[in-house]
Amino acid sequence: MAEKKELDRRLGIKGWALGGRWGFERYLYTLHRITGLGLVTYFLLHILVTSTRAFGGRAIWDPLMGTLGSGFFKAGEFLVFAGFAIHGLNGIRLILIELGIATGKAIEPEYPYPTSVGNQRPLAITVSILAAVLIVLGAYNIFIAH
Amino acid sequence: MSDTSFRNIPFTVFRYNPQTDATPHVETYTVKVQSGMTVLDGLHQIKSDHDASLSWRYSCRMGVCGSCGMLINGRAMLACNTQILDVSTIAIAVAPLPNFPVIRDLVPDLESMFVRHKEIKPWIIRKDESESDRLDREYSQSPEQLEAYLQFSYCIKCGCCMAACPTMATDAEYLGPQPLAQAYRYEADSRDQGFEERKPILDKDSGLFSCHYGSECSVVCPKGVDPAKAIQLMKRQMVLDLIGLRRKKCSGLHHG
Amino acid sequence: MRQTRGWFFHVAAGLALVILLGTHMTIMHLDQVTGGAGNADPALKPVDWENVTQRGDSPWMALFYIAFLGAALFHGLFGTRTILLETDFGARNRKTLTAVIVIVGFGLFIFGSAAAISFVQMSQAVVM
Ligand code: SF4
Ligand code: SF4
Ligand code: FES
Repeated sequence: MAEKKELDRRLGIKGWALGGRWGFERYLYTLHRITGLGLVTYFLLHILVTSTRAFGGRAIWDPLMGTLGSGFFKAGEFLVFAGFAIHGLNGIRLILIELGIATGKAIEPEYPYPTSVGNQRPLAITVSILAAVLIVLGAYNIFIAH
Repeated sequence: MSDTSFRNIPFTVFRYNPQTDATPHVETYTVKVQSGMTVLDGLHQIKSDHDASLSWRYSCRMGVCGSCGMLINGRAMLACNTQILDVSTIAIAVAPLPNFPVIRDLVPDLESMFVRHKEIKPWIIRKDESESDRLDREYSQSPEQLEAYLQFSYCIKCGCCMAACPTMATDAEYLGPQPLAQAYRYEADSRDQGFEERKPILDKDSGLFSCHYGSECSVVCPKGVDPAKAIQLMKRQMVLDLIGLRRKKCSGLHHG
Repeated sequence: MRQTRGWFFHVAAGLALVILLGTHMTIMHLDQVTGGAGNADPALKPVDWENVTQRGDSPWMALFYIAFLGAALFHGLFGTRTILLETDFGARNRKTLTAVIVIVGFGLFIFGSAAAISFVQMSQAVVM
């Protein structure tokens, strides 16, 4: 018999975002990863930047914050704040789901089958609204009040 | 449009023959669609009217055997369980389930799923194996105990969930929604005593916690198994066990 | 319990961060909305030297920073590792990846903690 020749059709990284017709929760999944990676990247740099004040004192801090207070960096800070709002609130939702609290128990499935996705949907919506409110407050604070 | 009128709908079909093709390609066929026709009916029409070499897998034609899972307009579904006009009145695209290798045309190789399904020991595990030789006892279950796992036992191993899962898309070692949901199907069974045996299998890298509730598996499951739910309930048991709060099951054994 | 334990600590650190990072973000980016939360002089920016040293003028601040640093490094780096291990690249380089992440994590933890402690000492001298 001929050797089995097969085609690998794993979707790869694009499958994290583009593998089908995604529901709302699937976008939250993608957003959670993107915001998470964004936050760590910022955080690692942030440790280095903010530590300078302990070693260089005010002489280094003032000019540094002067530069970082400009428009471009402000926009960056806003993105970090938005990332925090989304990642933190969605993280709480994920904990409630992964501990089986927000998914519901087994049911007798009857067509059209309801799923746990529907059970946690109110939570997903609440979390998204809260994140949006926080983001608006942050935008006001960062761009307008200062 | 009355029920008997026909409508021409183009079917764009993924074609791949490992013997002759270096890469897959798509071909478009016109299918005369009547209300009530399933995607499976459409494929039969292509095979009889256009190209007899088109291959796919099917058996029961009624959503029971789990053979005909495929990607229909971007979504993993059973061809026999899906009416063409419910998907689209304009165009249909059919491809084999992603995340599985392709044997030919629309035939995915589901072996990786079956291997992992077996790996989680999908049977009732009893501590005392000699019980099965003694026929003087039975394991009775209350309706509530039955309901705790019944939903998850409806899985027909079609692989639709595996095709939809984002972790499956990149992690070649991931156990996947079908096997993981079945692990919980047995965990939730009052007769099963296999938690300790399955624990190291679920706990390994690319195991249970590589699921991040993308939840797409539950959305596509054609049998209402809700694998994402089963997986989260399994996680709950693993975490409770970690912090010493998991409740042990009673033996479930009744003397006849 | 390998994956389960990892998840458990990841989530515990995440919950701690909701509080710690939540506090930090409120002070830094919601100061005007909250009427100057955590800032000695609300008229100034939270990052202005006066506000920064006022906040730093307490050993509790060093403790806050160190707890924050630890939780954030663990949560962030463990999460990054989880994502990378799900790629073919990560699966091929599992050991190296884990080693790099542990080294980066401990390195930054020690560096950041030292900075936090010496900054609090400096602030106490300034504010006195
Ligand atoms: S859980 Fe659902 S989608 Fe997955 S294999 Fe079973 S029946 Fe198919
Ligand atoms: S819920 Fe888990 S198993 Fe299901 S698709 Fe999402 S990551 Fe995959
Ligand atoms: S042919 Fe059996 S499930 Fe579709």
